Amino acid sequence: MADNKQERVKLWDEVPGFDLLEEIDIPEKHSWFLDGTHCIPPWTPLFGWFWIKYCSHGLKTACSELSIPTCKGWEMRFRDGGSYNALNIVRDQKEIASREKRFREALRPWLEDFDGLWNGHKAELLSLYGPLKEFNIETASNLRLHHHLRDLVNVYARMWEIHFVGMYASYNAWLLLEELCKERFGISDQDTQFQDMVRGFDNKVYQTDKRLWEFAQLALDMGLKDIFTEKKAPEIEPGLRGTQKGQEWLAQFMRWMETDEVGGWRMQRMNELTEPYWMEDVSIPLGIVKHFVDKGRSYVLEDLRKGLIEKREIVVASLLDKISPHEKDLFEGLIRLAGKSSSYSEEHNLYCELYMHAILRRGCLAIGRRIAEAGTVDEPGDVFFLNPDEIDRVILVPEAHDLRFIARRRKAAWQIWQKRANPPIFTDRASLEEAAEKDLLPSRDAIAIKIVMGELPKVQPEAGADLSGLCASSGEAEGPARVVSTFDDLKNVRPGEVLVCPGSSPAWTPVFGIVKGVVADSGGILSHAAIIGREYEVPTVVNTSEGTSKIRTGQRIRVDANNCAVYILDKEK
Amino acid sequence: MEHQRYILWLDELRKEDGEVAGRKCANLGEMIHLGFRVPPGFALSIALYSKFLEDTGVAQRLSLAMNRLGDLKETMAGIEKLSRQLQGLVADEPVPETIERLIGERYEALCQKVGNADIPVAVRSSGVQSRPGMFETILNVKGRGPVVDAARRVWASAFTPRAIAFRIHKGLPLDGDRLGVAILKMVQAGVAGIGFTMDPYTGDTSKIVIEAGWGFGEGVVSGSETSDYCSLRKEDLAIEKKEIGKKTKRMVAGEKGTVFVDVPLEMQEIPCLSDDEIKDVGALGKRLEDAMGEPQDFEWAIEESGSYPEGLYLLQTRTAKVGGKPRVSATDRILDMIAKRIYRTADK
Repeated sequence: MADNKQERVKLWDEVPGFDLLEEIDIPEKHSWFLDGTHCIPPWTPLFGWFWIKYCSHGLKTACSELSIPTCKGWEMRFRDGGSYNALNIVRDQKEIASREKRFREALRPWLEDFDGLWNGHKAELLSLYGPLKEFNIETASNLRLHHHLRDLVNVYARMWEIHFVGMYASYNAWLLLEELCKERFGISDQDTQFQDMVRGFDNKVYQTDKRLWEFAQLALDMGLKDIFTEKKAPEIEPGLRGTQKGQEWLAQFMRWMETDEVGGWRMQRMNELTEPYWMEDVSIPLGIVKHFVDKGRSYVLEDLRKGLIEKREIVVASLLDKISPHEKDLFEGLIRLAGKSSSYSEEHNLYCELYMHAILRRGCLAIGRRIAEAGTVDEPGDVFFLNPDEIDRVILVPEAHDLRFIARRRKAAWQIWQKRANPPIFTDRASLEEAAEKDLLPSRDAIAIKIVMGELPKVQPEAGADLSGLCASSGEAEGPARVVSTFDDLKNVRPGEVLVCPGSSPAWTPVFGIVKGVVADSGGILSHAAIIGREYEVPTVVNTSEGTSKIRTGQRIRVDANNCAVYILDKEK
Repeated sequence: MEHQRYILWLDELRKEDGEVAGRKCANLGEMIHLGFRVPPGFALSIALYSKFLEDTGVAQRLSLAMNRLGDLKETMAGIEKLSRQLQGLVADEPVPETIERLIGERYEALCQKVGNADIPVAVRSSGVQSRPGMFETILNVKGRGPVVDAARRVWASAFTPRAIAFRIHKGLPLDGDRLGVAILKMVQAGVAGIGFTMDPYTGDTSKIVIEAGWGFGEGVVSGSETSDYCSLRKEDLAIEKKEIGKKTKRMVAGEKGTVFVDVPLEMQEIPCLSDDEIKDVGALGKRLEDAMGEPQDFEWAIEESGSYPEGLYLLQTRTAKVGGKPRVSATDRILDMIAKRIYRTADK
């Protein structure tokens, strides 16, 4: 019996049914790729449970709804806080052809009216989030908390379905535009010209940034400059409360946080539950307002956007000039749709992950407090080391249970995961290249290729670069490096530095306004760091794999994005 | 008397009968009257479509859904669900017997008229409003059962998520598209294509433009395959420009329906129409424009075996859009290119 029990624990632990079992999973799928874009640093088990189960559900749903000809979505497995992904590739030509027929039907409405469909999906999400936000976590009985968790799971699953339908729909146009541009003009999506065509579109992320910039202007108008410039972010709120004008400003600000469609319902770290959301910790958005106040009156956010729009119009006009009149409307349509990929990449994060994860954190922490009070676990945050099945087991009568043996063990393990890197792949293929060739690229899966796993960098040995990656935003930059692994470290970034990070999320957006260049370990041309790099015209190289491990803060580095290269200038430091 | 309005021979229809059996059928009837060579065939009227909806319960579901249009508009999920329900109703129920008999008997009468059993036909949608490319067309259908089934599929195409979403977003009623069906003898074409009695890109009405490809011409119509292009002076049909495209694929008759096959290498880069044939197609276009009184956008086909010029058929015609928009929408071309260039991995 004892042996048997041991076996079970070994088989399924953090994410039952989805823990990576090498002896079973590798022979079945050959290669499991680490999702370096989303799970660095490694996740807590509770977050992993939600993501692994429902993100893969969303991918499979979208591939089936849109009948993506060559891919039936992804499988995901959890290992040491990392997400390992394998693609369900369709290899039979007959099946591809029959899926293609339905694909055309399913994709068409998105090409005809992308905004209309996405607006419908946004409305659906907001209508699902509403009751969850209104649910009173303080007065709820344990039974109601149990129901709340179930509601969270259901809405979470739907969020991922919506997330990926829009994503697959919008990225196809990007892939085709790149394909045609390569063929006709020899330019890929790593070229400036291509990138200029698809940036400078308005979206909710930009609108929110602008709203915060306007609040900064209001603070200057109301004579509150000193409170923002002299205090650190956490002290700004008490500072404002100390003056009449400050209170007025704060009241207006909080009204926006509470009544805007998204407002304060967004996480600062996109893919984890352990860090607070804006409504929970007002010093986060106040810190961004502070950034804008520090920049002063002369910094006008809109000017940047205007410049991008002008540039886009010039590049598009010169490209259309080279195209036969037959194809003009085809290219115009494609460029417009590819621009939507950029906008969607940013905006969906706000309505999908950042919003949902804030609501999820709120509910899970409420449960954590309830079971910590009962002594089931040591502290509220320990709920992040349980999975929903374990929560279900104890939530109705928490005082009758002790789960500290699970939470403590997993927390200790999680702390170890934080200090080491997960391997990039589990595979029985001979090399990473072979694995990509056989188990990734035939999927033709835009999300795998352009975002999560990224294309493999072309190393140019003659350049003698210390790191090679993909050119996500062209240009050259030189400056002291600032290695940032978590959102918390972001506050140390100083103007003029080159940001070196594992990857970024929309919450990081404002920092792109002050750095000179960006180097990211992971991500493809449509990953967050890449898109924001382009929107802020910051030279950016992504998918360098080992930027954060090779570069140390303070070293002078040079980013030569056009040549996909990063140089460490003073290695002895 | 009433039942006779359900099915009509094409030559019973005239231009003004768009409300009876849809615009395509009405136009084809008019062409026959004007003496153009159109393949023989018959039309399923709008009244038959309505009867089909009533008999299968789709009409009732629609009026229910229309009452809660407010909720529907909010979510794509709602549209998809409604579409699934309606298409399921149309697809899973057997075609009511009276309707099956009407279509089946008329098909057999057509076979008799042509003098062959089980002739292949083209089953095309014929909406009251023109929505190019929105509804189903099924080519090379043989036999009573398959023809009835193809008609059902054309009707069901009024309820794809795309068609429903289109109507909702345009503020049209949910049952706003009423579909007639044209069932025509299939022309076993060796060469086929399209023609415009003006330059569709510049709107220049002194030109006639012809595009041609091997086989049934589907690739030419959808704009997805490279085709031969030529431009004529309308006045005297002098050929002014000729571009021979590399034609790698063609649609031909399969055992059931149609298949895309490779064009033999030696045929890929030769013109598929002789200069005389180009002029004949141009002349057909000129006659059409004269007959209709405005520039036309038409489809033609030349039978592979058989005598010429009797084998040159007019398949359909409509008013060309003045101001020169190509008839194949950018969306259609983008869709087609995405499907072929991103997801066809056979060559890899």
